[in-house]
Amino acid sequence: MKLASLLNPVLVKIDCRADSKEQVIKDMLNEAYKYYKYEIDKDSLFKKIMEREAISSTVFDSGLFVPHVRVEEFKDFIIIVGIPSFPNALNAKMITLILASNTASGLYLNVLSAFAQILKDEDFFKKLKTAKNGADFIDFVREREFLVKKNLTIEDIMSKDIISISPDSNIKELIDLMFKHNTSYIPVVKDGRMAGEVTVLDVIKSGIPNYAQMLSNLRFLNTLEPFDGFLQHEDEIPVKNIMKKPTVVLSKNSSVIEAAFELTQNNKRQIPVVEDNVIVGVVSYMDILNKILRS
Amino acid sequence: MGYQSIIGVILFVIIFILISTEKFNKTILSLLGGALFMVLHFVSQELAFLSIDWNVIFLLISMMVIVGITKKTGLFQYVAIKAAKISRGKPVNIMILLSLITALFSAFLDNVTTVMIITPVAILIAVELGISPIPFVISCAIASNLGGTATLIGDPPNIMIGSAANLDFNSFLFNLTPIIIIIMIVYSLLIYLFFRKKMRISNERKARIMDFDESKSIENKPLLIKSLTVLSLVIAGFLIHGFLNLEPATIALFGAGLLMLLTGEKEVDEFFHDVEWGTIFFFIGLFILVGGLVELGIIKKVASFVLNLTNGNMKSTSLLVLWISGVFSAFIDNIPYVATMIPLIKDIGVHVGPDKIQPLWWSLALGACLGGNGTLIGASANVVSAGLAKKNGYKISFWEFTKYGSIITIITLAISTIYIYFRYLIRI
Repeated sequence: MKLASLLNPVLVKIDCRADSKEQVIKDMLNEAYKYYKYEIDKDSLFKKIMEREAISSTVFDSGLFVPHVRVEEFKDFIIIVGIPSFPNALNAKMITLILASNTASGLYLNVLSAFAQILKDEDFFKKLKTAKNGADFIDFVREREFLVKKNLTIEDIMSKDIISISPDSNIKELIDLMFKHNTSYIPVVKDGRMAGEVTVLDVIKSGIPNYAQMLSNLRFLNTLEPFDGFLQHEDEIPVKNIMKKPTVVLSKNSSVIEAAFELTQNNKRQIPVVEDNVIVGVVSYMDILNKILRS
Repeated sequence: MGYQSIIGVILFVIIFILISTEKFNKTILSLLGGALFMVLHFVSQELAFLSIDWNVIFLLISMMVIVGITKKTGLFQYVAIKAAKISRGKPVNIMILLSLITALFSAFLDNVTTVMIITPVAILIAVELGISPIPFVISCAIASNLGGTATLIGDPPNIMIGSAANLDFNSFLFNLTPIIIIIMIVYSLLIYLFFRKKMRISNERKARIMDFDESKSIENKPLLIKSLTVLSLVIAGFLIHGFLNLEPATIALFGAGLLMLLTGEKEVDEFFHDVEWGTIFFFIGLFILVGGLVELGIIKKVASFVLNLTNGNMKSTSLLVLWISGVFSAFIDNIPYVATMIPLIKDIGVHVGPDKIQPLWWSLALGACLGGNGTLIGASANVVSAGLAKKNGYKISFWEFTKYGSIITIITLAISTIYIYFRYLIRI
């Protein structure tokens, strides 16, 4: 997403006053409430911003002042930008007040880092100060294509330590490998290329003959001869006999939601991440739990 | 014959041959053929749709729904395992008892459904006994075709014949069930003769079978009670449907609706997963094709040809129908065959009087159903059974099956000839 797309010309103030935090924030809030109606009233929002500011100041050495608030009742994402005349009491070169819902944490952080980039680029910032009004300001920002950092991709959450097996290995080696690494999924690789995949379920299933799988249940049995036999012959069956062609693969820049969709739609626990037939990672449903839902 | 009729016959024969070769899906072929008949104006859409026998369609769909639900209770599996235990693990006894149960189930369920239920259990038992499952698979497949012949709802040809000739459930019970009982006795003896010596097993193997706890097979007791109640109601309904002046499809549809309501809690679509829609639409396409042949006047011509051939003598016509149907059904699908024969026999009835053609209907039913055993490709149940065996690593070749199947077919057709002759023909 482009930073410029998130900005509104009427909420960009050139040469604004910057006497104190209270004054700056109040002015900016007044601007915002001039144009919009929000679910939360201005005074309580102001209080919340100041509470946040009391915990730790958001004026950075670079000259960026980023007062902000994230509250549940606020259902929008509003950026109010001010370029104060410099020097000023706050020692701020650029002020961005961000009003967001508490669910927007990712976007909020990405927007902040985009503004930090603007300040870092001194030549561009000089040019930016020549902007006569908000529209000019946004045009400059748009020309330089400042991006709000892209969303997480599979590459960020996938596991890159790939434990793979050759199709010519036997099932005993496969089971040992799964047991040793405590993994239920192993990609099958031949000559560096992905040839298939096996899960613990595939291994177990291969021990249950087809006719037994067709029965409505096996409760009437205590043991099943072929299953016992299978356990004794695990070193005679090659992995290629039980591996499956991967039905779903992802690429490194697939989105997290695509992975979530494919996992749930296909009832999978792991999906290989493949570039040009070479496996580069595996994304598992636990990656979604650990790295997205509880990051 | 006009050029339309000639093209019609050629197209019909081509579709028939293509269906038999199984190179293409038969449902697609029959639907495409039916549509082509309408596109070429051999039959108007209105007449084509009128020639679809909805009694057959709804009877099939409803029974598939009822069986689909009942199957999930584990009942059929319970009975099959019980049979193995009653036989005390003796292979040839298990084979005979499983075959008899298959025939019994098949008299009320679709043949393919029956083998899909019984064959996996049969293979399991054979593997646990440490003997080849192939004789079990073959004997059950043949038994399913034999048993299916016994009742109105046992096999699609019977459903079609019953609907078209207005023969009720009890007519089939009085006319076909007795002969099938005789055939099953003979069949059991044959199994005993064929396989008695081939299967010796150890006591330990027998103990494995006796260790099965079939009572655990029943999965859902409340559902079992509901299914059995509805199934009994439906069968009772079939027994008196003539008296109630209701068609079998009405009874089955009511039963299916009732059982779905009682089962509840599921998405309605799940009940229809067990309906073999491919088969249903195969029938629809066929009815249109045959309706087209009737409309073109071809059936009428063939009927008078047959009558000329036999001089209108019902004795020879009847036995001709029996044996020709038997031979044809050994090689081609008996469903399109019977669908074509029905209007033909009806037309003969127009000439000689509808009362006189009763033996023809029974000859058609016996020939078409029993003939299916003739070769591996004679009936869907054979093909499905062989497919199941192959999936488990036991390949049944065409000749392996046909070796047994053809002998059974000749013997059962011979028994049928005697039966038909003495029961229906001797007095005319």
